Amino acid sequence: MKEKIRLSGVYKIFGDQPRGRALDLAKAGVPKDDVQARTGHVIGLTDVNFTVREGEIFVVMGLSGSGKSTAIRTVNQLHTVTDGEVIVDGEDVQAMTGSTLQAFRREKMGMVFQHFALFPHRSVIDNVGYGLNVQGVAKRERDKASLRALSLVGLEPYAMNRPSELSGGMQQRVGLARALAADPDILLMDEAFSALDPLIRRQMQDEMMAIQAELQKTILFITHDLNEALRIGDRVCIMKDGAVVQIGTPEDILTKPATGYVAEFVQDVDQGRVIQVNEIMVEPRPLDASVSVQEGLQHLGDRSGAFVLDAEGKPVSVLTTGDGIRVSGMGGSLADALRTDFETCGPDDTLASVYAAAGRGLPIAVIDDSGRLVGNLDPRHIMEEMGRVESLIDGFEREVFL
Amino acid sequence: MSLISTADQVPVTDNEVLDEFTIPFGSWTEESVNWITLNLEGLLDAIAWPFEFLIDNFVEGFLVDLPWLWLVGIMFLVALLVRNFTVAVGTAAGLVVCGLLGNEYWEETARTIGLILVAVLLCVIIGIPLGILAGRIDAVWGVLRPTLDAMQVIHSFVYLLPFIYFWGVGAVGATMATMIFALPPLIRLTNLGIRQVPEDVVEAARAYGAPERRVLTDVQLPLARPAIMTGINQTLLLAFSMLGVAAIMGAGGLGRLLFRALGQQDVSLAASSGLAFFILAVILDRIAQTEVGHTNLFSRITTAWKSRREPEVLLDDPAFNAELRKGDTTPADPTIDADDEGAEGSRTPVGAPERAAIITSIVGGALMVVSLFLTWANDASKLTGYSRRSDQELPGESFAGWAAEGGSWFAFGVTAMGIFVILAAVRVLVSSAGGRWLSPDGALLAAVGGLITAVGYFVTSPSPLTVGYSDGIGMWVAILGGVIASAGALRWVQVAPYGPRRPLKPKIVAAPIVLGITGVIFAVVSMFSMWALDERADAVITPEIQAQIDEVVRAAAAGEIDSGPAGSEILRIRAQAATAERLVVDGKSSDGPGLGIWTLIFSAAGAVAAAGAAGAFGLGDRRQWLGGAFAMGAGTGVLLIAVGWVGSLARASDPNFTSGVGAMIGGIAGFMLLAAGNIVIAGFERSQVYGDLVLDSDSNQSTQSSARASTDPAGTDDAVRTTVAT
Repeated sequence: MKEKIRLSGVYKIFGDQPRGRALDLAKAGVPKDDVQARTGHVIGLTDVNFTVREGEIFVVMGLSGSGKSTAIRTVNQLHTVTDGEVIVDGEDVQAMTGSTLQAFRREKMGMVFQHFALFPHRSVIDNVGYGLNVQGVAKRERDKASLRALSLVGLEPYAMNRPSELSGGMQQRVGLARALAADPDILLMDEAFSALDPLIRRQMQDEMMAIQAELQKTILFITHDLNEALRIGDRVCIMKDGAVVQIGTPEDILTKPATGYVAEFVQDVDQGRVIQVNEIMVEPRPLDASVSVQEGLQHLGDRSGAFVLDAEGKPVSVLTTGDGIRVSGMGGSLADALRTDFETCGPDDTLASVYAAAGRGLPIAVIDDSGRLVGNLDPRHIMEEMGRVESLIDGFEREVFL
Repeated sequence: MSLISTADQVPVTDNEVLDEFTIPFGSWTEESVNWITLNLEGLLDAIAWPFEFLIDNFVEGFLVDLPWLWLVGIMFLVALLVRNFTVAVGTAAGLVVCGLLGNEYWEETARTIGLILVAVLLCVIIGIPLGILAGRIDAVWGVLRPTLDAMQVIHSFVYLLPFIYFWGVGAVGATMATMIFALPPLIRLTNLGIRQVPEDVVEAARAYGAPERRVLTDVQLPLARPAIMTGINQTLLLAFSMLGVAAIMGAGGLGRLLFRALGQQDVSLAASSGLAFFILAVILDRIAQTEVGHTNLFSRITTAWKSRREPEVLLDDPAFNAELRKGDTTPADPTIDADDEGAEGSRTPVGAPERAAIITSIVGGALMVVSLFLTWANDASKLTGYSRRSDQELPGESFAGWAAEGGSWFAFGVTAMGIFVILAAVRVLVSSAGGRWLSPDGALLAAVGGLITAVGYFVTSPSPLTVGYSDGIGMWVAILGGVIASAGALRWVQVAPYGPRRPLKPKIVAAPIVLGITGVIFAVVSMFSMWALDERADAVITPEIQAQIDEVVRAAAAGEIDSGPAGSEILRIRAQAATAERLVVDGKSSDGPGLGIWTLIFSAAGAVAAAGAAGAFGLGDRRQWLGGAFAMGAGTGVLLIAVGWVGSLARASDPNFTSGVGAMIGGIAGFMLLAAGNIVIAGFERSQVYGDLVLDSDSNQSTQSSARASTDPAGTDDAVRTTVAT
């Protein structure tokens, strides 16, 4: 995929004359606080590198003060950078000035703000059409485009209202429509949904993804909420103290946190919603129905169970360790030990959806679309997976404190 | 060195040593000032030029020379454009009062308005750009802030000094001092307003590609507007107060009159100029007050002007399209009061008996109006006979209602009331919903008021020196019209489908009674007070004084004294006589108009009616309402009698003849009765057709609930889904 936005070696230092000593220190890797103590300059970004590909939702995640808002503002030069390059569509944004910059801003990107930043003295339709207004588009055309954008977010009936007459969620929809009105390639969304309550936030995320599916914009999304990042992001970039900590797909972040800092974040995430069954299922290793109970138990090894397949490869019954031991103690045959009331699931299901089934303690058959067994899901593994991240953090904390 | 030797002689602990080491700061400054005035004359002139130009051409050359009613009209229009009709009417009324104080006061009022406008205009030209710069550039604010802090600590007198040194005493320096004094709040508030604009809104404008100029005009200025308007208001008030102080350095305006009144201990001058000063302050403050939103005419005109190429967009603007306002589902619309819900329901239509009563009222009202053009006085003038000697004997001449020598302000009052009756009657006939005043009680109020005014003219006694006066047909028509209109309105009040908005309290309401009694007390005071003050020399030239004058004249003729001193001697004797024996006419005196007695009679009648309206006699709802309307009518009549007397005398008056304070007190009595009646009748309104109303509010409700449904998250979500899907 084509690269749309690239930040390479970006430094941002706040204060007078930042290019001298403060930049040298920052480049030498001196920590943020030390630089501030020595020069009085505040470091916003340290050697930030990332690339946003065309048509993806790229999420930058970090706590307040991590530099994520500064980073997004370098992309449309609301902030200038102290050092490094910001390239959008092959053009160096930071080199732009005056009318070139203004033209670039209004044609290339739309921005959505955390607290909506609507113009309170203008009607909704004039808010949405502001970018076009600045471009000098005639009122009639502008209103047409604005109404189209408003229809995307379902707010046409409110075109003539003032923003203050709308609810928070509706106001942010107006903000989104404003960003879409000029039909830019890139959407910059700065904590766009953070000020909304959870229910509305989720709904807005869905809406944004639906719009994205239809319009295929490149979206650079800033958030401090990892759940949100993992939910909507094609790729996620985690920042801390002005530096990039990790970039990867949501699964990467969850399953392979690069540092304890990331892991600590991941701790709060409801991983069941992100991790899929196929990441923790094991190979099927089916059981031959003609063997004895003893042989069946040996076949199981340290597994909790194995499935018996029919001619087409579909699971028909299951032998669990517990059943096997009980039946062999009573001297029964394998057929007595097999049970058929097992649960099934698909390989793309999330862990959250199989929780209930796992609660029974029986192994779960992972089957493909045609019903054939593709994997064996051990309920113990689900619990282990959920606990794994926690132990990772514990390890990190030991590292730090001991 | 002498310093050392003297220091040797005086011990350093002695205070006298301080004289040996004086820091000559004063003389340094003086030298600097002298140098500047000598060498930088061009610069000083350049700074003074805009002030001089505006004061010479705009204030002295235009406002002061303008016929006074023109200025009243201009200010009325300004208030109407910037604010609303109510403020405009108040402005015009206030200025008329300022004007009626006398030409001297009017001239200074006009000059004050001019100087304030010049100072505020220059403040705006300098202050708002400075404030914007300070708001946008921290370095500018860094320099400005300590300067402004220092400016606000300095005492207002100190401001005057540099301007006196550099530009001398006079209006130019005073206006500059006023401007500098009034500038800081505007700069501060503009700066604050710009800085208070949320950072993300400014960023949003930038992010959508707005150049800095548009960031300022599209976002920062509109959002800073309330702060800037407050700043202008503050500046105006400060300029106003400073202009009073600046009178000591020769600024013109009402401040100069006040300053003179202080010096001469002239109570009358102080009171009149103080009143004008106060009225002007209120007017200017009201006009300059912040008003956010699109309610005023000015912003409507701006919007209209902006959309001149595509006027159809105005259809979508509720400020222009009443249809949109009707269907407005905005919950927090302050103009829709719960009490006014019925305003959208239809009112009970006019029935046959009501129609007959209304038509009778119209006939009466028409007669009252017509009377203005008929003869009110024959062979002499009843009213101006007091104030102008030449009007005491005009054989063979007759005067119409509008003439100064005829009915004058009494006739105007009657006519105004007649128009009011007709307006109320026609309005209710046409739309059946007349509103608060264009209603039967309003008509009764006006009819009774007009009748009492006409009767007031009838009972006025002409001056004892008047020869051969007789009342004209116009007065009789006015009285007849008043009687017919009152009868019609009375009948109308009885048959009209009106009722109290809420059940009236069963107990007696104290306020109308107290107000009524206060009104009567005022009327009594009015009766014993002066209604006219005659200081004309010929009013007091007794035979003895005449003999003295004759003696001087004789001596001058004989050449015993020169004619110059003789002339001034005569003037002295006359003046002495005038001040020694001023002719005071009180409200009951037989050689006066006798209006004080009638004021009391009408006030008492009004007070009784007000007491009835308050529930004192156990009357029913409708009679209480009637009583209230009648009390207000009596109040209006009493007020118009006072206005008629003062206004008529003022219209045609010899010098040294003035109407007295008794008329003013009578007018206050009228106000009291107006207030007393208003308390009761304000609670009444026309009945509604409830079937229609229920239907109407039902459909209203359904549109509102559908609107609510669409604001509901789930509903909107569906809508979004479908639009996205399509």
